[in-house]
Amino acid sequence: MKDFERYLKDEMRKEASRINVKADSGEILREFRMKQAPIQEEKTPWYRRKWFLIGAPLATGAALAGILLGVLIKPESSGPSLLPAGNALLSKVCYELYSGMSYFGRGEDGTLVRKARKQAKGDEAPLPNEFKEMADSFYAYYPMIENVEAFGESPSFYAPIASDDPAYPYCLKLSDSSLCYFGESLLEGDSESVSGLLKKGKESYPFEITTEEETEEGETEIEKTVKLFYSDSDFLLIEKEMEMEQGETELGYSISEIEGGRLKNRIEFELEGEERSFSIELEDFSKKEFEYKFGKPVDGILKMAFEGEDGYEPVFFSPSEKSFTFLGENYDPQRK
Amino acid sequence: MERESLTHCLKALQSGDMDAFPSFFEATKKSVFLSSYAILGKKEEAEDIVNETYLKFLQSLPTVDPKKNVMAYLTAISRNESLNALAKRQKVGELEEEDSRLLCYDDYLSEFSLFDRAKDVLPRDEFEILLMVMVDDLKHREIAKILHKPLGTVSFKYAKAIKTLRKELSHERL
Repeated sequence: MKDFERYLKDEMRKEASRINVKADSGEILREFRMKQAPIQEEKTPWYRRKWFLIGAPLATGAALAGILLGVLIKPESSGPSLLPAGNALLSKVCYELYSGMSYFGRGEDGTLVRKARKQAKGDEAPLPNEFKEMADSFYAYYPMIENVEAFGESPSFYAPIASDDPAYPYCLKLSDSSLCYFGESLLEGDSESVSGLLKKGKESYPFEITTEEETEEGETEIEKTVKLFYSDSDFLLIEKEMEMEQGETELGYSISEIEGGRLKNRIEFELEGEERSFSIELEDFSKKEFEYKFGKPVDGILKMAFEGEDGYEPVFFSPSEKSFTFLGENYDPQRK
Repeated sequence: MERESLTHCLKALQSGDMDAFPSFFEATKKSVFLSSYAILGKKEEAEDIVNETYLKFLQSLPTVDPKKNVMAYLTAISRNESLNALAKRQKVGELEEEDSRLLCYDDYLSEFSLFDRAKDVLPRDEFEILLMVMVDDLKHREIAKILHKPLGTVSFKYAKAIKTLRKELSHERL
């Protein structure tokens, strides 16, 4: 165990041993035994009991009303909650599934892949210089980076609804056309593997979530893997690793598209202390790899180190205006 | 008392041997007290919760799973009872579990400098998690179940608590 944690544990246990708790086991046992003693009561015939005389007609009326209302009014959808309100873990998983599909072109916004296809077909002017390519991709992925970093801290994105699939008792609504079903809650039970189904329109994609945790003295490692299957050999692989030691956190996060057992596209994000790095690799139509390093915005401006041919060069990004400055030149991806 | 010994006591209690209760009680009462104190901040109220916790525990004996950590079970009962008591005290419908320093701790633990410092500098949830790891020897996964939080959040908050305390105490340590 690391020195400080060992010291803390030893001292806290010493202090705990000196605490005087005024509670007596004998009194607790006596009270427990008193509560266990059966209470003698006069038995009244069931048909004369108050609950029957008053309750039965009410119960019958309520049942009839329920049947009528059930026919006339569609009940409000609310399913069993997978986790208490405000818990973001499952929402994060769903966000990653949904975003991963979108960003790699199978969903609604195949941003980079769709652009790459246009270029390959010659529908667009050739790509501008490397800085602008980097800016486009960073701009496309920045919302995901911001959300990924807030691990477990952000509010729930999605609300539980009633599941209409008996095989999957839990359901989260991701959008009007996407629902995420789960075989069990990720929190309850000791299962380290949860299966589910992502339904997008008329298509269904089974997925598996596995979690491994390893805790040694003073260190905790958590690995979460999500596989979203398009077919037997095509799937989206989302991997998240967190290492915590002595209050320092390292977060590694990646989304990979696997086709025919082969890696096609991949984005990777790492957070170590205050330093973040992000890389993307597209093997589909153009092999591009960008790597950025950046901290947190200062006075509203995020300074990044963009790795070009001659090493790292500074790029300034305004999250509020979504615009970049590089070597004195301004670039706004929104105005393309 | 080690975890195995606690499980042995539990099995004895479940088989009807109430003579095992006093030693079980003595081995666990301080942890139960501290988990309640972390929420209520009042010594006498926390002691009331200790009594309630063990009563509920004894009443639910047949349903306690001896394969699982009985300390985690006790902590969960204590926590629920404490939150109910806090709600009654504060007269609110739903508890804000993330309220950090709104509790007014009495001076009971003021002579215990480390607890005192920890409860002063840490948000309540981090203080709770710290106690569960340090005093109750619970694993992060067990704590996650008790607190209904994701495993990663528990680990993250524990790491944050350690970091805060290390910074707070670094100039005082030998």
